[in-house]
Amino acid sequence: MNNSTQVALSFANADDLANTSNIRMGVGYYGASSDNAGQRFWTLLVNNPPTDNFTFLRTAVPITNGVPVLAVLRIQFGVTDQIDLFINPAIGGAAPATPSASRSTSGGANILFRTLGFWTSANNSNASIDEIRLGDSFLAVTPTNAPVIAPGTIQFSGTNFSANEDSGIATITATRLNGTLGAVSVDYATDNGTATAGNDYTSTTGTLQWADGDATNKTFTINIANDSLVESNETVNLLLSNPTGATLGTPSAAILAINDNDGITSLVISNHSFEFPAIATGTFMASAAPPGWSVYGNGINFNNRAIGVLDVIFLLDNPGNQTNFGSIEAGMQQTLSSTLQTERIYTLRVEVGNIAPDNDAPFQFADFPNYRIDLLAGTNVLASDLNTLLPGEGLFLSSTVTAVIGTTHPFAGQALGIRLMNLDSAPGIEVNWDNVRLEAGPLPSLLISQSGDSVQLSWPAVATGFTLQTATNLTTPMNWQPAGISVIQTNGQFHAAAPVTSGREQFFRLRIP
Amino acid sequence: MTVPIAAQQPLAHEPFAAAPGTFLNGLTGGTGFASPWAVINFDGNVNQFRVTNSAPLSFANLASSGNYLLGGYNNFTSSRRIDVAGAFTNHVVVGSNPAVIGRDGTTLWFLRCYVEK
Repeated sequence: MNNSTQVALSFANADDLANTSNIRMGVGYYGASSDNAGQRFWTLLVNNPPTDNFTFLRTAVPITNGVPVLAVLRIQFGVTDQIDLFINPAIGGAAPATPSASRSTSGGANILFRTLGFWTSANNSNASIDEIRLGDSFLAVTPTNAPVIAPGTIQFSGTNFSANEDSGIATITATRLNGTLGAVSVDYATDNGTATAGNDYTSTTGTLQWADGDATNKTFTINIANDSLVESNETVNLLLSNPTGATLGTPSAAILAINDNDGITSLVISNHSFEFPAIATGTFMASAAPPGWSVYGNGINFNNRAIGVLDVIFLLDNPGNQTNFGSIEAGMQQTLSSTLQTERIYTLRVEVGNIAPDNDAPFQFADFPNYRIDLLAGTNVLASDLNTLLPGEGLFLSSTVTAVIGTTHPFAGQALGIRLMNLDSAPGIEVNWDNVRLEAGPLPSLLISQSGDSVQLSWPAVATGFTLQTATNLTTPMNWQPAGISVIQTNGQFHAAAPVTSGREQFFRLRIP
Repeated sequence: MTVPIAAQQPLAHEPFAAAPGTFLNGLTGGTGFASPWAVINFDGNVNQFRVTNSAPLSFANLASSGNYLLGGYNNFTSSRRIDVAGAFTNHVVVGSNPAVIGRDGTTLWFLRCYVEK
């Protein structure tokens, strides 16, 4: 991962770092300046023009994702400022004799600042920061090096865990904090919340053990039952007890939520209605997709192009710059945290709008482009809406994209995604997106019974898009054909009645056309 | 988070001790600062820096506890003014207006604990 997170000392008087000019304790990726033989190294960046105009000083300490470091910076002020960076210094005593990276700088304003800050790059990865300290001495900013002589506490890693009903197991994590002295253990157990042992999960007990000096997290698993009942999400109570050698920390009780996969689930879409950032009507943001979304399209350079955030207006071009995009498929996309599950119906709905022309606006908004909406699993398109709607000027229409996933699917387990595209390269022709939502529902079960001289059929009304078919022969060639009977909807169910045909078998099924 | 045991007191200290879920934007707390944290173009995006405690940072054999900051998913810039009129008086350049840190002959140390995800 090539994230770039920098801590900066800024000369700016305002609460921003726009005028940062002196020094950044750079961490992460500065291109070749931070790389050596494909490995990233902690890097000191000094920007004190004209003497130092983005001078990079790479340390010999590699950057490893997930491994915390202590970074200590020393600035000795003078006619020439001396800057030393220590990565993971031995702490508790005097400062190490040899810095990990150093730079003397002079000229310009030298190292003068009044604001502390940090920023991250556009790499779609997170970082953690803690314990920022400034002081007069090494001892003032570093904790003592004394190891914690204590067995520590044992607790859950959080108060809430979750697992999907069809995941098979839930993994629960316990931590040992504030000491590693001696071997310690703790018992764990489950208890019914709203879920029932034996039906929804397997009652589980056991003991977690840590050796002397061991501070690694420990886990245990709970078997989850995958039933076909439509039910709300259910909970299992988790409890730690009977610690030996250590004490119980907080939380010692937690809740496991079992997410039902048999009802309708609304999947989380970041910034789904493009409420962020809030930009006034008639103004536009350029050079980026809205938060939560990323740019899609080969060869697209968004400089001087416009993505307006009203709902979201997506323009392919800026009338001030008539150069077309490098691809005729241009838009934005988002990868969801949810993955493609089998035996589910996915329904993607998007409001598709056509902004009315406005001669006073910076763009005319006349006409409506070709568009496409894709539902993705990984990079694979599951289903699309290609130009089925033509909203009139100033109007929205609702697009629905449905993907029915059977008992197996080659893309099962891959991350779901959504892609919204303007397919025209003509300037100033916009498509307006809003209220993107994705639901996952169960495959419908067809209930069949006979009442007198009719066959009664019913299935859940949430299963839209299916047609009822009938056949009298299931051996090849099967003769499935539309049932051709009326379907009514009451009480959340579709209902139909077919006449009984005496003397022959009748078969029924639901199919997506 | 490393245990805040120091032989001398820092001039400024930010432990990010606010409640989990708190956005960095507007966060106060800590010592030695003259303003709350400000996140440029803060828009409430869940990926912007927020306080968490789900898995405290640890370093060497120091104890871990408490909260820390997680986020910075995509181009987030955050800053906080240092209290140049208070704890840092001895580091302020004489006669500077507005006051700035960097007086000749002084030394300043700066630490942070950091991890990439």
